[in-house]
Amino acid sequence: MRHSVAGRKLKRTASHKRALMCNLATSLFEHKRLVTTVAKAKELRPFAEQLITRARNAYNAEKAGSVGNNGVDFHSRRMVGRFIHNKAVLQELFDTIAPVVAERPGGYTRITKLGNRRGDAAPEAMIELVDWSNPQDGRVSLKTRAKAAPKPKKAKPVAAAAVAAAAPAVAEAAAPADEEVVDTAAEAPVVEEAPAVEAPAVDEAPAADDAPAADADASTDAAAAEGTSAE
Amino acid sequence: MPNPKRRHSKSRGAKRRTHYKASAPTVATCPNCSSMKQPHMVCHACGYYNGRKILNVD
Ligand SMILES: [Zn+2]
Repeated sequence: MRHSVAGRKLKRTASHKRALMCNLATSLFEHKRLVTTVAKAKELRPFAEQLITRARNAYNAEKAGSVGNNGVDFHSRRMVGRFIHNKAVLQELFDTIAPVVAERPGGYTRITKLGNRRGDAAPEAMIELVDWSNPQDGRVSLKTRAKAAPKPKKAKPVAAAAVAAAAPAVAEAAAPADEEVVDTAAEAPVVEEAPAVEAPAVDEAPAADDAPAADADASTDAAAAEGTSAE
Repeated sequence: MPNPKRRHSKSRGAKRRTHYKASAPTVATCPNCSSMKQPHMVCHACGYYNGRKILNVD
C-alpha cells in the first residue's frame, strides 16, 4: 500500500523523474517561466525552490563575508550543480536570481493554471519566478483585494519614503499613481512599472507585492510568446 | 475461456449507461473583463489571472 507517500511518480522511474526535475529547474532558471502540466509544475516547485534557497543562503553568506575561499561559497555551487548541469544557468542562479530573492523568505515561484491542453486535454499551468512576473495591473476580485488590503497600509509609507529618497521629483508623480493602483487595482501597466524601475525597494511594497524587475517588459514578451504556443 | 451464459440485451446495456452523463463545468465571472471563466484558472477572454496578465489573447 502506498498510503500517505508524498510526491508524484509522473509515470517515470526515480532516475528519470530526477532528470526531468533537473531539466525543468534548469529551464525555469534560464527563462524565468515555463508552461508545463499542472502535476509537473507542482512537483517542480519544491525542487526548484530548495535550489533557489541554497543559492540565496550562499549569496547572503558571501555578502556577510562569512565564507572563506575568497568569499565564494563553492560548496553550495557544487551541491546545486548536482542538479543544474548547465554552468551558465548555475551562474545565472547564483549571480542574478539569488541577489533578487535575497530578502524573500521562500515562495519564489508562482503556479497559474491555464486550462486543458488541446490534443490530450492535460491540465496545463505556467510556473514562474515571482520576481520576474508581470505586474498586477488588472482587476482582482473583491475577496482577493480584501485579503491583500491590510498589507498595503503597513508598508505604504516605507515604499513612498524609498521613492522619495531615491527621486524626490518623481515621487510626487509616482506616489499618487501608486496609491491609485492599490485602491482600484485597475491601472495601466506603465503606471506600476514606473516606480518599480526607479526604486528597487518597491520589492517590499505591497502594491507590487512581487515587484517586477527592470526587465518586466522583456518577460511580458516572453510570456506572450510562450502563452501563445501553449494555446 | 469463460464465456457469457446469456445474451445481453440492448435495453440492459442502455439502462446501465443512463448514468453516463456529462457535467457542466463550474463557471465564474472574470473580475477583469466580466466574461465567464473557470474558477482558479486564467481567463481565456482577456488572459488575466488575479490581476496579472498571463496569456496574450487577441
Ligand atoms: Zn477576463
